[in-house]
Amino acid sequence: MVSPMYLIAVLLGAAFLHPLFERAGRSLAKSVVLLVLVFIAVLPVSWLADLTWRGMVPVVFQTAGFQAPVSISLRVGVEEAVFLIMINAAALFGGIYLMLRKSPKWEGKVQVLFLTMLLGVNGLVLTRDLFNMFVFLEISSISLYALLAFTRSSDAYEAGFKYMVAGGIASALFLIGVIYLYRFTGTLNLDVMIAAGGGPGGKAGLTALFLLAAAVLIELKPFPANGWGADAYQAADPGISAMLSAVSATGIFFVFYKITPLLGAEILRMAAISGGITFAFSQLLAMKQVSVRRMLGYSSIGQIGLLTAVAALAPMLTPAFSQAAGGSSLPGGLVAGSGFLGGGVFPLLVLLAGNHLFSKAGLFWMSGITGSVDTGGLPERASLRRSPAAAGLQGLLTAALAGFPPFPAFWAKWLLIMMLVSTGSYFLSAVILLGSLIEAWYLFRWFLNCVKKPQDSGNVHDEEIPDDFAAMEMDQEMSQELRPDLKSGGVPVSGWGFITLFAPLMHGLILAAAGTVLAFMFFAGTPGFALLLPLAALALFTLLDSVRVPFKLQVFLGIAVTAAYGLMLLPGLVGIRLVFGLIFIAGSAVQMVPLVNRKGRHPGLMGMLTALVFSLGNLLFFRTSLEFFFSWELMTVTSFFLVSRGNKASGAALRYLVFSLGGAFMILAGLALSSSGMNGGITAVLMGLGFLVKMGALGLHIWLPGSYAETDDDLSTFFSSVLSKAGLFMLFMTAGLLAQASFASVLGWIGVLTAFAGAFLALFKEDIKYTLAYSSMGQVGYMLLSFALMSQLGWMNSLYLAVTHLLFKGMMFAAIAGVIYRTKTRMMYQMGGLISRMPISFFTVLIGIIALSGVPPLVGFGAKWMLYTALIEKGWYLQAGIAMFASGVAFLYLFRLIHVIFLGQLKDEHREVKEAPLWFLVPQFVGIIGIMLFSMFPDIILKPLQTAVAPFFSGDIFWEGYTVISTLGYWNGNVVMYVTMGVFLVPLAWLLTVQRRHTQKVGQFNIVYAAERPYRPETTHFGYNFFSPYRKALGFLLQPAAARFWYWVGSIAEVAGASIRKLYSGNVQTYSLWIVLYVSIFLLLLQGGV
Amino acid sequence: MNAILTKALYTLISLFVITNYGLLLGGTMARVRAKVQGRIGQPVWQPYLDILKNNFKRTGIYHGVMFYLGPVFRLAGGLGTYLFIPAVYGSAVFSNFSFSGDLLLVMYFIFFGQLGMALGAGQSGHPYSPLGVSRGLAQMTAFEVPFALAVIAVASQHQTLSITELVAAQQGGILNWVAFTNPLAMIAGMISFLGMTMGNPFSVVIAPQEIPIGPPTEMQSSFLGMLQTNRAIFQGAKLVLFMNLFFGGATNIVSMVVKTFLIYLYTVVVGASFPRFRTDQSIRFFLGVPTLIGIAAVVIQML
Repeated sequence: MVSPMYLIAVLLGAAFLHPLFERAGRSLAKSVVLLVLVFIAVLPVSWLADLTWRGMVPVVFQTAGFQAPVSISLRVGVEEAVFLIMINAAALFGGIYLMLRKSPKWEGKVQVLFLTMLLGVNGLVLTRDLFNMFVFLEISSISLYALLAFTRSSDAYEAGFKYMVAGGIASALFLIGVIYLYRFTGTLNLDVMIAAGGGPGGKAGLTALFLLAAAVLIELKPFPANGWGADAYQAADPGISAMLSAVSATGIFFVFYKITPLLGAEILRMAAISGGITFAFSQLLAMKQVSVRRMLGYSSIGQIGLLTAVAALAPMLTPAFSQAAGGSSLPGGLVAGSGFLGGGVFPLLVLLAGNHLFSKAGLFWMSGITGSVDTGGLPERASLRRSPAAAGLQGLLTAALAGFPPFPAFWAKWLLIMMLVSTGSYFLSAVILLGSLIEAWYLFRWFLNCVKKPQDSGNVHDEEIPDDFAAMEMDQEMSQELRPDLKSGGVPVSGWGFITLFAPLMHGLILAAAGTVLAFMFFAGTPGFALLLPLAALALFTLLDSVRVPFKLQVFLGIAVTAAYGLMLLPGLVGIRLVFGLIFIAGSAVQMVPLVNRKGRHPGLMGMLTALVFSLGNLLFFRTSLEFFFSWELMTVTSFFLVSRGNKASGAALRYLVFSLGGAFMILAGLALSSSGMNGGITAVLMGLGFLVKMGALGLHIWLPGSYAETDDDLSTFFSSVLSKAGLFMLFMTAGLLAQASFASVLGWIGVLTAFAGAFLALFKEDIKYTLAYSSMGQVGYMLLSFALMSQLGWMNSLYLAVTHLLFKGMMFAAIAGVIYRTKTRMMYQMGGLISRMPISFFTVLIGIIALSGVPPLVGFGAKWMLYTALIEKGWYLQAGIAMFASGVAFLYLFRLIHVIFLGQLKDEHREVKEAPLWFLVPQFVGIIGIMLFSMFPDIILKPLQTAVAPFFSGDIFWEGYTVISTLGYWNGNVVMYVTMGVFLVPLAWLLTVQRRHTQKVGQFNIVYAAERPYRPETTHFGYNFFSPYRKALGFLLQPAAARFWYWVGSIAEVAGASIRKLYSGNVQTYSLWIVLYVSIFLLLLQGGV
Repeated sequence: MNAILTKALYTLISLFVITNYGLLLGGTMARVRAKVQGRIGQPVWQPYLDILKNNFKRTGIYHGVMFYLGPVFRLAGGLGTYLFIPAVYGSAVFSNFSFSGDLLLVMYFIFFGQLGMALGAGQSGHPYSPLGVSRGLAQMTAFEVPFALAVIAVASQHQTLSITELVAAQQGGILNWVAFTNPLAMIAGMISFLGMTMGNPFSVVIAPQEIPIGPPTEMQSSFLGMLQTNRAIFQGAKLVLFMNLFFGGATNIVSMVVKTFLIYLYTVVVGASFPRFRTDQSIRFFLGVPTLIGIAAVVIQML
């Protein structure tokens, strides 16, 4: 094994000799620094190789034949090697980042300081001697003070000074602690002390240990004694902030980890509490920040707090790991004392620390590269939208930091929550999940602000009705929106080139690679590699994007791989899973077709879309709860990125993310409770709520309209007709849990109220996409209601609705997307009379609304028949009444939809519009054929559904030919179809033959108009506020109660963040006072606790 | 083959009877209304004359395919609704196609004609047509609520949704009628029937006296003739439906005529006695007391 002394020597040597090199040439000096950085990054890799593959044992190196403290004592074990790999890799890319950027230049002095700081941190990680530790701490701190100030702004000087004061206090405490410990134990060697059974006993011993711990904790910036830390993050150069977070903080955290065996239960408990508080409060604080770097700084502080808490809880968590290893959720490598990285808590710490280190440094760099100072976003000329690579990278890093799969934090989050819940730490679990949710909220808010379009106010959750006669302006805007590709050349215009992205790109790749490796580890030994197909698809299409494969080709490829995926995996499915499989896979493949119509380049679109479809498909195959959760989260994040592409979607996308993630965390908590053997009410409530969020159930629906409507027109259909069923599918899968007690009836009420609310809200929308979005919400409500019936007919109907809703809503969205594409407006009242220009789209919508409203003879009636029969059978009479009301209201908005768009007066500007492009028509044809087939022969869908639910419920209905007979009534779809055709064709034939010679078609304005001449189509078309009597009668129901409630919840968090902020005055005196108070309270609690 | 031909013949007879009965009933009631208002009124056979006149007009203007199909949809809706209801209990001729679906089918098939007609009227381009549609549909959703509750109460009372079985359950004496065994359901249903017939006080939809408004605004000639034919059939279908639901059905043509006449007369009496509601007023009306009565009927069934 190579001696770690080389590490120290090389860093020190390079730092000392740097002025000489620089005299020989600046490039030479830089090259030397780079070489050194490469060396220190590679060396720990060789150690790890030695320690793992070559079977060497950890070695303690002493220098110059002396014993510590006179000499330096360095240990190389797996832990040290792993942390140094991460730290030095970040340092390497940090150096490259500083070198590649144009301004400010990476000066020689700064390079020297950079090297000495690294020397200190490396020493901190390696040393096993307390006094050495102090020395290295000082080296790294002093270098940091100077590094912080190198931008020479007054803020930076001030921040450096504050940091120095805080560091000084910490150093003093540390040194006093070390002195006492030496007095009590006679040694400074950690290993000796630990071998002697931990630290010295008694109050004095405890105080000595306390001083040591308090010093390290202060260095880790605990709440509230961390104002100086936040100031430093904010004021420093982003390259330095990145190093502060990734290198220095991680190194000091490792010190804390190293001394934990020494500290004893009381101090560790206090440290854990302090860490937890820091995590929670930092997230609240970060949420309110305007400065990007201060926000990221608080995020760092919070993450380090979490790490501290986990490390402090190690004695409690380690046994939990051993126990859980027997269960299904852990790969064997994580068992304590064996396999991967020594097992136990340490791998968890590595995942958390590594994920944070790489993603946070990357984000700091991104803020520097793009010049993002304000969390409110970037000026339009610098918007990340102009550079798909930068936008993708920032999205990736943000997703990694927020803990989405496959990044390491996802696995860490899973393990941590599982372990905490199994040890009964419910409160801490809740705090961690809540904190993570807030963190995702503000990180993604920043991301969205960076990528949003100029016309996006970031707060669009409802339709925006333009002023009167603003049509011309709007046309212009829309035509630009429709061709975003023309504006974005792919190469950023604000002066930063692709090469500057190198450092964050490497971090992104490291995170992605680590995540993929982890995924392989967790899903090893099973045919679970299919779970990674979404990632493969994402990678494939990203590659295609980067070599500029035309988008149309990508769409065809997407359809092909989706079809192949379906052909490979669907035959393995039966029953309910097969039904949803067809919805997810076949439904998606058909609905990808309209995308072919797009022009230009759309980087990331097909990758995200296929990844989304595959992760939906993978939901069907899950066997363990981890497999399920992996696909579920992947589905969430990919769909989020799809929503965020919309023209005005950033606000809606953020809501979608926060609600989805909140739901996912509830599911996670439910899964954890369930795996620790608690299958009671709370588990069912948590998981049920999580799924209901995804379905947009009433009260949890406020994310839904914006997300469905503001997504690109040709993508909305995926959300409405495919994605909304994921929650339903999971309800079916967990029905055993939910069926108990009164949950079913609560679900039923939620379902029927959702159905009513969706229909009612759709009634008053002028924006067609919002109408359809609320309509989808209502339809999902019916599915939920039917599911909650927990009977044969109920379940059959729920599945029947899921399938038929896919058909009619899919084709309606496609038709409407075509209409919007041609008319360039979403406001229904601005359309009108389009039947003559777009007859096929009209026919599709006609079939769609007949099917949706449940009018015989089309498929929709089957759903109504089953629903009411099942409701009356079950005795849910009131629900049946509300459901009928809802279905009446649905009829209203559906009529309005078709009338206002296609009938009435054709507008002058639409006289030349053409039928929608063929690509939009393809899914419509498929939908119409499907609907006609199922309407004519209902048994071809009902009988398989009956079989699908047969394992759960049997025998209430039976068949006589085409007649399906329930306990209450009967229905023969086939005869109904024939009778309807008969009564329709006879009068038609009569009109066409007998009355033919009389009839004559007249022009648009040839109407009997009360002795007045129609003026313009706009003033003659009745479309705006179509159901005003309804608004007059029942408008009071339109109060956005749910939105207000959630706004109130959000405000509480914000107000909390704002009031905590008041602790941070910016004064160095105040900051010092907080440190002293923190230490004193820590001590008081500790003494009181002894 | 014979069976199909017989069924076709029966269907024609049934339709012939209901069409003529509906037309005569309409004419009669117009005369009744005239008497109330102190006029002599039109001859009873006036509806026949209207239909003939309209069908023999020299011009028939239309505004497009959907406009052309609107009346066809409407008439198909009326015919279909009638054909899914057994008109006379125990009669093969008047059992129609009630074997193909139950009460739910009838309730939803009513929408078929309304939707088609509304679409046809919409294509006329006349703003008053959709205005009437908006009012009519809005009012419809409101009166459907007490009606749905009444139907649910009746269905749960007799544990069936089959109209034939409902009528069967009411045989054996007047006290077996739903009107007496479940009076709350009957009251809720009969109040919504007022809305369904669109007479006063719920007549704002077609505002017949003052201005041409509502779906038929642009309809004339054979299109209007078709609508008038439908009005007779559809009215007959609805009357038969309510008779079956609440008043024991009919075992022969005579009792059907008597019962439906009385049910119709009830709407005329109410219409002659009350002024007209605005649409929002009628929505609030139906969702108020009638709905509460409907809920009470349903809750009684749950107890």
